[in-house]
Amino acid sequence: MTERLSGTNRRHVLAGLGALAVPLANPGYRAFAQARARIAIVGGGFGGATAAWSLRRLLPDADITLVEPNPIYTACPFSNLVIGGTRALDAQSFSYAALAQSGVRVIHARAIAIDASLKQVRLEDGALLTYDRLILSPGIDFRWGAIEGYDRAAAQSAPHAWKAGAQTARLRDQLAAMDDGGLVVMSVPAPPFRCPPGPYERASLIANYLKTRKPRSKLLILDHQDSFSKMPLFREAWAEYYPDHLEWRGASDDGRVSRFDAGSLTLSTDFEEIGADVANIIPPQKAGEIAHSAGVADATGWCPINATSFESTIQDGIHVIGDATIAAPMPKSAFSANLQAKICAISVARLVSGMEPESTVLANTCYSFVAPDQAVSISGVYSNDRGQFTAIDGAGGLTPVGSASGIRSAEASQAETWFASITGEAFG
Amino acid sequence: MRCLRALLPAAALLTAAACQQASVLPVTAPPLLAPTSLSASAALSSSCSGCHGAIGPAPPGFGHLDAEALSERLATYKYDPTGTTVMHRLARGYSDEQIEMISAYLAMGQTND
Repeated sequence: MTERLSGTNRRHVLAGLGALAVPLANPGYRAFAQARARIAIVGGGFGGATAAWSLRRLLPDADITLVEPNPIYTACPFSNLVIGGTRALDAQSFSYAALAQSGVRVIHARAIAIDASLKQVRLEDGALLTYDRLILSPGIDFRWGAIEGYDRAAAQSAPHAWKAGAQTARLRDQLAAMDDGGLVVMSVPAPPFRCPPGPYERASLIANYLKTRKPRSKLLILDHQDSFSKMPLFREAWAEYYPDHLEWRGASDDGRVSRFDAGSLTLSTDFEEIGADVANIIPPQKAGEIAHSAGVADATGWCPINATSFESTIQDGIHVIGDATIAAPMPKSAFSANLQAKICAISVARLVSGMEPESTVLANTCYSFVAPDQAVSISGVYSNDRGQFTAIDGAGGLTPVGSASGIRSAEASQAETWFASITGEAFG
Repeated sequence: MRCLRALLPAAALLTAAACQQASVLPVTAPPLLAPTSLSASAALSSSCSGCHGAIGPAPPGFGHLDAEALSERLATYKYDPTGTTVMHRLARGYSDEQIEMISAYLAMGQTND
């Protein structure tokens, strides 16, 4: 990657600076864009909304349409603070008004089918949207029934809260209504799932709530994994802050939940039945439904892509970004989705302008709160050369174990500014 | 192209404490939203704006730094073997050339926005 860049590197820099120096309104800048390229984006989360903004800037003359059923987006990052009672759900809400004002056509409807050969998206009202290039940012859906008895109806009595919004409020309210002395049980699925450290951040913040508000209560985590993201950091924080309020049981310690009874809130593992006062079941996951009807998901339930262009390796003309993709070692995070959107937008703009996509370097950082004012982080740096994601050796890593609490406070503050930045970039 | 290692004697003066102090300087430049071009530099710099393209409270901001100062700062992170902040961990993933491309792109973006 470095070698390939080095020969032409200075020219690239100059080309980049030249483009930057010319205002967007200058016709010379617009000349490289194909006249009225039609770009459709399905899904308006951190991936789709960022892709729309980026394409608006890169292809000022293109016809850019974002299809997203919800008029208000509720962000998942920081929603565990809402569940833990220290953040308002309103602080998670974002609208598409600024994006619509920028000239992106925002259609609040559900996409129900995609025909890759006709290059058409069908909306729920029957309308057809024809595209030259489609960016699909469908997020995740759940494998209902993979835990026997846990279906859409059961999610009302035992919220997953793994898509933010009403489910987040429901779990928060159930915790608030629980008597002191109650048992909260969380089930964590086998990977891959959205936000690998998310369950453990949530566990920390629920334990913090119990410790401060309902001290005779306890959280039990039943996990399909034996090791997890930022494990040494979470274990350190749990031992320090929540020794009496949090118990974690891994897969090989009978932690795998296979059955759920919604009537009695009973979770069954291989050898035990455990009755909960509040049950939070995070179900096994797959790419969002529209990816399956578009034919871009494979037998794993996720979407294989060319990492350089983000184009589906199954269907031409459809690019997939965010949680739905097979992008390991990049994690399924909002940071990844936002960055993949920007890189994918550059690739799509190059393709409609008659240029080949180029490989680059992508970073990721995920902050996790271990208490309302303390956070830890994991970072990684990745190449997307030759269509594959690979972690760059010697880069990335965790907040050190044993850090002073001042470091964790500083990282909590960095997390706040990250949230302000990334939501600003996605929603204006 | 200059080797960033050559900058280190000067860059080494930027101790962790100095970086910490710099991080609280107010960001006066408008929000930087990447990407703004189809160049390799724009793509490389797209990772930065997830945290530093802030609308709202200032993260460790670079609005006041020119390309050379940005390169020095990033090289300091990259070549500090004991550093453990997020920026130390990230900077180690980039070549010296990539650091220069990013620095030039970000400095130009600030100037022209």
